[in-house]
Amino acid sequence: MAELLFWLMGGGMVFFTMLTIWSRNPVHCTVFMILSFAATAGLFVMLDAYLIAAMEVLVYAGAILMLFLFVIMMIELRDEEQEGLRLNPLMLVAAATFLLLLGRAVGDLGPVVQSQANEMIGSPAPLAEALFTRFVVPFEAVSLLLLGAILGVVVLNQRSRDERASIGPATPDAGGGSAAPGSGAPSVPGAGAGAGVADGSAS
Amino acid sequence: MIPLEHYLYLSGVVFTLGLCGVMMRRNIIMMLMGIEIMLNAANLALVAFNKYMPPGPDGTVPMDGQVFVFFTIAIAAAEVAVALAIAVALFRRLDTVNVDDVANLRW
Repeated sequence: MAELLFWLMGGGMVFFTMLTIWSRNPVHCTVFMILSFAATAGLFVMLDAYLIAAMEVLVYAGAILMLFLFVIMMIELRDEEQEGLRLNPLMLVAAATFLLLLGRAVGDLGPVVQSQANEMIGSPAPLAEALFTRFVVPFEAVSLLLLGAILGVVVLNQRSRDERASIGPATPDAGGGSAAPGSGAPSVPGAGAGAGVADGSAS
Repeated sequence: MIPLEHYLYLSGVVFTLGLCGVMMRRNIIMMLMGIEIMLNAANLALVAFNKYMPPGPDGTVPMDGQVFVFFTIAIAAAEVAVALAIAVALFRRLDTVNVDDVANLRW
């Protein structure tokens, strides 16, 4: 039973990953990747990592891939469909060599791990205990990293002053899908307004 | 019971597929997807190692593998947010997301 589930989930993971890589349409790629991550979450459940499986679905499939879909639709990827993939024999050689080395490494794993799986490690309580005792410093560092990422994203997509002036509020004639530079980033008007208010109060 | 090696081989195959994705695509967003696939394969290996980890002196199994997966997922989220912001900024400025067109710094 467990073996059947493993082959089902593992096969699904590999299959959908391949489809992700070789599919031409970026939106299809994203959907296949969500399926691949769902299979991975199933494998995590089989490995008694219930909390990690839930996080995989919530954070990866729910948040990260939604972000991908959002950006793909925002900047309308089209050229990929005609252009196709770049296949170089050297790439295949590199990938095959990598896989071979990995196989050798797994082959003589040695006595690092035990051959018998642990029973029942699925409870999230020991995980939380480890996170908040031994790993508390990295945990806080991750919170700082996430804060830094938020600030970085806001700063990266803030429009400069003259850009704002050139686009301005008075562009009602941009009706026919002419994507003006920077028509994306729906958060920009708010950020721009905030910056403008700050400038006004300073001067 | 499925042996640890099965999980490790599966993880290796998926990692290699992600590597192929990064190498074959010329589109910065699709390359990012390949990186995500590789991170996910590493997560699978870490969780599998945790399942087969020898218990500590007090008889309980340390949860280090799952803790590392926790950190990996958090860092992947931050990385994707920043990288997609860079892609959007690139598209706004140069009107392309093809990495071959962004060769200003190439010697």
